[in-house]
Amino acid sequence: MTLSQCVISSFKRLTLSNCNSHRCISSGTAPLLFRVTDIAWAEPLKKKKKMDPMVLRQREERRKKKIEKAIRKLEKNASQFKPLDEMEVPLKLLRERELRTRTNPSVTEEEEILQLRLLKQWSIYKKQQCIAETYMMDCMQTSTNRALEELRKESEELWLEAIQLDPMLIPYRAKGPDDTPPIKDYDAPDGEYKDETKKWE
Amino acid sequence: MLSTMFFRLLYNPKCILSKHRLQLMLLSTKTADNALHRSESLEKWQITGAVCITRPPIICPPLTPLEEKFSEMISRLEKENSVQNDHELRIEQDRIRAELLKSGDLESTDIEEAALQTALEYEDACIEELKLTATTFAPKVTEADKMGSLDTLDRALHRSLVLVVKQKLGENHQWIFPQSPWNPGETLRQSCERVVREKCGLNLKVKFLGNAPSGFYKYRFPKNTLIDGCIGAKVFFYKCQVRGVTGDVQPGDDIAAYEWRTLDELDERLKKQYAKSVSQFLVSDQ
Repeated sequence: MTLSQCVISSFKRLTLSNCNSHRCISSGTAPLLFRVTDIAWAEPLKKKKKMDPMVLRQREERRKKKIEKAIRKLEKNASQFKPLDEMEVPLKLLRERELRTRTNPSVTEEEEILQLRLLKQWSIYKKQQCIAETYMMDCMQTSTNRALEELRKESEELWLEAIQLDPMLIPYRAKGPDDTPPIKDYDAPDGEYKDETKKWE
Repeated sequence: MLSTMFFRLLYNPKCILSKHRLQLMLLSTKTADNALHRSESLEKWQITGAVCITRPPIICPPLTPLEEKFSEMISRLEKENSVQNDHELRIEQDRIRAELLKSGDLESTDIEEAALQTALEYEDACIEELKLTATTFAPKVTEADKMGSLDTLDRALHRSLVLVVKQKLGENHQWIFPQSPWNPGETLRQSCERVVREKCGLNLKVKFLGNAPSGFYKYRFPKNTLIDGCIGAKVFFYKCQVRGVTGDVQPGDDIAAYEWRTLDELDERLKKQYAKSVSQFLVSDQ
């Protein structure tokens, strides 16, 4: 055997193979197979620590107690009325009442008559407004009824569709009108959020 | 009516009719009945949905002279019935102290106090601070108002606006509310929603006020013209409101022009009879 043949034959034994058989034990003739250990794709599960049942029960009890305490606290506060401190007149104002009273210029008779006349005008104006509004609503109702009647003459089906409630409409929300129009592309500055909800404890 | 006539013919002793003639008459009335029926079915009307798109006022209208007078009076009465606040008391104290300072009999402690800021100075400082931080409000009269352009929503902010379009009807264009014939398979409201999409584009967001039409108008097509076998159109108006302050109209193919008009500007554009039907359901803002 030449040297080169010798080398080749020795490398022959080093062939990598997919063969996973455990029975490939090397012998003089069969090639010696390299085998790689299987890759562990996941960690073996950790064994759950066994808890002392006493500790568990204690924990459960503690939690229960905590909730019970919160409930008791809420119940106690439910019967408590919220104090209406904002309804009280500050004592300082009561004490300084005389000091703070305004001395108004006396009203002449003429001014008084003017004032009364204005009040009368105002009530007439408001009444007319009210009548106009009622009339307008009447008109609209009549108009709707007439339209529905005509629709019914043309097609009963369309009429049935038209008298259905519109669930998307109610609740109807509208905003405005305001005193000034909105500023275009106005970037409202961010403020800090401050929770001022009062707690009655 | 026909049946009563027959009744009379049959039972009136004066009316002597041979059996044969009676049969003839019966036949002739039958054909007349048929003819009547046919003429009724000929009177077919095209169901049409129209949308009345309104933009509610964005800002409050200015007060009328009477309202202004009244509000003045109310605020005056309110002030007279109120008590003086701390600031007013402070001004009063300042005044007294100044008088004392002039006359010369003032104790040393009072002089120390007087060196501090007076109430009026404080007031001025407050006004200055307000000027620094105050935002400038948007003007109530917009550019469109000044230019007199009618094709934008950004006009007459204190009034309700209604969209009128110059739409092709038959041969000519007419100023009306956008409308379109009803297609089988859709409800009238759906046709109106389609009208908004087709005639005004997708940028205009509207909210419909209910499923029922709020107005009605009937017109005949020109003489001897039938469109789809109909002699005229019955228009059912649906009301809807523009959502949001902005939104522009992209007019459809058969729309030559469009305008946002206030209620009292409407009459200039609409036909008299049309305007009358329309005014029945529009909410006046005056």
